[in-house]
This record gives sequence, structure tokens and C-alpha cells, in this order.
Amino acid sequence: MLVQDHPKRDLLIAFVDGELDADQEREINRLIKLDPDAEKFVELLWRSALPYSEAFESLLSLPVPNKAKDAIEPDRESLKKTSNDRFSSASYNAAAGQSNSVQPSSSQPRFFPNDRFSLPLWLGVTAGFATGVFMTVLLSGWVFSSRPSTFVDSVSQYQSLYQRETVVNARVDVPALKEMMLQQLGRNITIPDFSDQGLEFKRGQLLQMSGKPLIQLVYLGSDGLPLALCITPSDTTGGETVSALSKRVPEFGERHGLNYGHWQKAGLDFVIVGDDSVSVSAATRQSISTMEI
Amino acid sequence: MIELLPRLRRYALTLASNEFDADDLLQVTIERALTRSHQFHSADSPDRWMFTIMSSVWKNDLRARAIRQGKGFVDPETLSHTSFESHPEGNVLYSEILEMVGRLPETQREVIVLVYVEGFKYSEAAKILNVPIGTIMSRISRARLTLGTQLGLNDMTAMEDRC
Repeated sequence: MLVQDHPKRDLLIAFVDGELDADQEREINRLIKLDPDAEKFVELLWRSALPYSEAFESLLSLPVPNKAKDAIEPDRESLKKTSNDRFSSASYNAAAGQSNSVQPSSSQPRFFPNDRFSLPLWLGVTAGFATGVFMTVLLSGWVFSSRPSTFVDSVSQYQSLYQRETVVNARVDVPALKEMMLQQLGRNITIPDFSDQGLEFKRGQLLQMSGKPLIQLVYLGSDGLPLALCITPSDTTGGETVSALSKRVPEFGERHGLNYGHWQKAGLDFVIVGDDSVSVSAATRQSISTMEI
Repeated sequence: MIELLPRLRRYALTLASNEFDADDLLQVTIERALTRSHQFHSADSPDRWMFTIMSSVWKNDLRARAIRQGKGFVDPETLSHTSFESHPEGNVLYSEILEMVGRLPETQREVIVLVYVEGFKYSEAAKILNVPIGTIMSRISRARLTLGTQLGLNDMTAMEDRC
């Protein structure tokens, strides 16, 4: 008799695999006692079990692309070097007046910290309440190291993980966001309107980089590509004055596959990061000329 | 969770026809997981969640993209073109198993790998693949039948003679 001929084939295989519930097991045990073919089939299954796991073990040793690792831990090399200098995030609830600002994160891996899979909400979740009154910006567990000179690099690396789905459903309470920006940066800063370029303002977040607040404003283009404007206090630890740090002429470049425009003004560092160089350039120049600080 | 990557890539190799597509699948899966991390519930198993995403990405995005690129409709029941490398240690049986599993239709191949390689229960595999558990049992049964036939293990009489 061939295996495929047995009418209870599926159940017998599940029995051998230990996948049946108690009632089904009793049924199969009865069947085996009464049906010699079933008994032989089960015996055959036991004997013919193949070492699948061992055979596939070798595929685990194939190298995983660095791109995949970097997507999860873009700072994994830097993390090994330092545990104090980090770019992390905090949550901010403008409506409740709470700002869990700049909570230094632990040295846990960025992805799935605290032994939980869900916590590294590097995406942040903007929970715009139905009333429109509240804006809660839940900030991510993003953690990667940053040096002052790598502000643009860190932001670009972070932004390279963004895609349309990251922000498409986000909602933002602009007055609350501006209040938060005032608290964190000490200045009233206008939020640029890039709608003429087909960019819709989707979300504002408070992040942290090297112990300093970092405001991230994210726009979504009609082409489905996100663009971000990030602002953080300039580093003055080197003895430079605020005025000396001003760099009104933007620097344009490319990092981590994204284009950026970087400038400094009034003691703040600004960077615009996005896929399209034309959009980045236009947004950068518009920001410099129209943003009131 | 970076330590999950080798297993995910292995599963990607199981689904895709080549390393290029497998790496693409892995990358999209990671990005999808990152964007949906807020949907993860602590009661879920992290690895099961990731395998579910990969399965979904493959079925809904990448395979569909391949079809759109001109491969036409492909019935996953008959799709069997994954080619694993021979076992590096030269183990003949292991190489044979890799080759045979690679020749299985996609729907059977993925179940064999999820259950016998990754160690998921039937019920977990059913959730990962979003199919009823009866479908899992049926696919495993057909896969084992195919594999047993190829190894000459399905004839009880022959088996008895061998033993």
C-alpha cells in the first residue's frame, strides 16, 4: 500500500508531528490499534523522518547583507565605541503639557529594546486625537550615536529609513508643536510651508541627539517621498560664539543615499533631507529666506 | 533582534528564486516591520511576527511585482524553482534534502521550512501564512508524500524489506 492511499494520511502525519489535540490523538490511537495499515504508516513516518533542520542549518551561515543589518542598527559600529553619546528620542504630549524630553536611552539595541519587539518606535506614532485638540508625538526608541560633526550624517541615516507609510497617516497639531519647539529650542520658529512644491506637512517630533533636543518636521511629497527638516542647537563647546557658527550659505550634499541642505542660523543647525535633490534645494532656500526665528 | 536576520534570510531564500530576490525580500520585510512596529503586540512572538510580514510581503508585493514584470500569472501550487546550494560540508543526504525541498511547490516548500526547519507549530504556521490549519496539514502531507516518493520511502512493502 502506498502512503497516499491512506484516507487518514493528513491526520496520521499530524499525529506523528505531535500536532493533534487530545481528542484527535485518542481517535488516531484507536485507529492504529484497529487498522494495520495505519499502524504501518505511522511506523513508516517515524522511520522516514528526515533531518530537515540539520540540512538547512548551513543556510544560516550565509552572510546577511550589511544593508539589512544597517536598517536595524545603522549605528551598530558606533554603538560599540561609545554608550554615552546617543541620539535618542522622548515622548511629548503637548496637550497635557508633558514633555518627557530628552530621556537618555539605555544602551539597549535600538530595535526591539527592553526585550520587547515593539518598543523601538523609531517611527514615532503621532496620535492626533479625534478632537484635533491634542497632538501626541510619541517618539521613538531611536538610539544611535552622534558626534557634533556628524549631525547631518546621523539625520540622513535616520531619514533614509523613512518611506511613505512612515508618515502617511500622521496628523499634527501645529500650535502644540510650535509650543514644544519654543520650549525645547527657546525660540519661536515658523514651520515652513512647502505646499507649493507638493509637500504636505505631516508630523513634528522631538528627538534627542547627544543630549540635545532635535526637532524633526516631516513632509510628504505628492510623489510619496518624505522630506524632513531637522533643527538642533549648534554645538558651541569648542568656544565658538553663536554668531561665528552662523552659516547662512547652505551646504548641499548627499549622505546615505539622500540629498541634504545644511545651514546654521541664530545658534541653531538646520538640515533638510530628502530623496529629490531639486526638492531639497528648493526647500532649503525657501526655509532660509522665509523662516522666522 | 538582529540575530533573527539569518533565519529570515533563510526563509527568504526558501521563498524567492535567487539570492537577489531573497535579499530584496529581506530588506522590504525589515522596512515593513520598522514602519509597523507599533502594531506589534507583546503577546505575539517576535519571530512569528517577522515571518508573517515576510510571507505577506512576498505574496502581496514582490511576487506580484515579478508577475507584473512579465512572468504572467504563476500558480504558487506549481511554483517550484528555488535552488539551494549544495550542502557546504558535502553531506550527501543534506544536499539531497535541500535539493528536494527546493523543487517542491512554493506552498509546500514554505510549510516544510516553517514547521520542520523553523520549528513552528502547525497553528503558528497557519497564522504566518494566513491559511486554515487544515491547509497546513494538507500541504505538509503532500510535501512529505513527494519527498518520501523521491527517496523511495513511501512504499510500505519496500520499507519493510529494507528494515
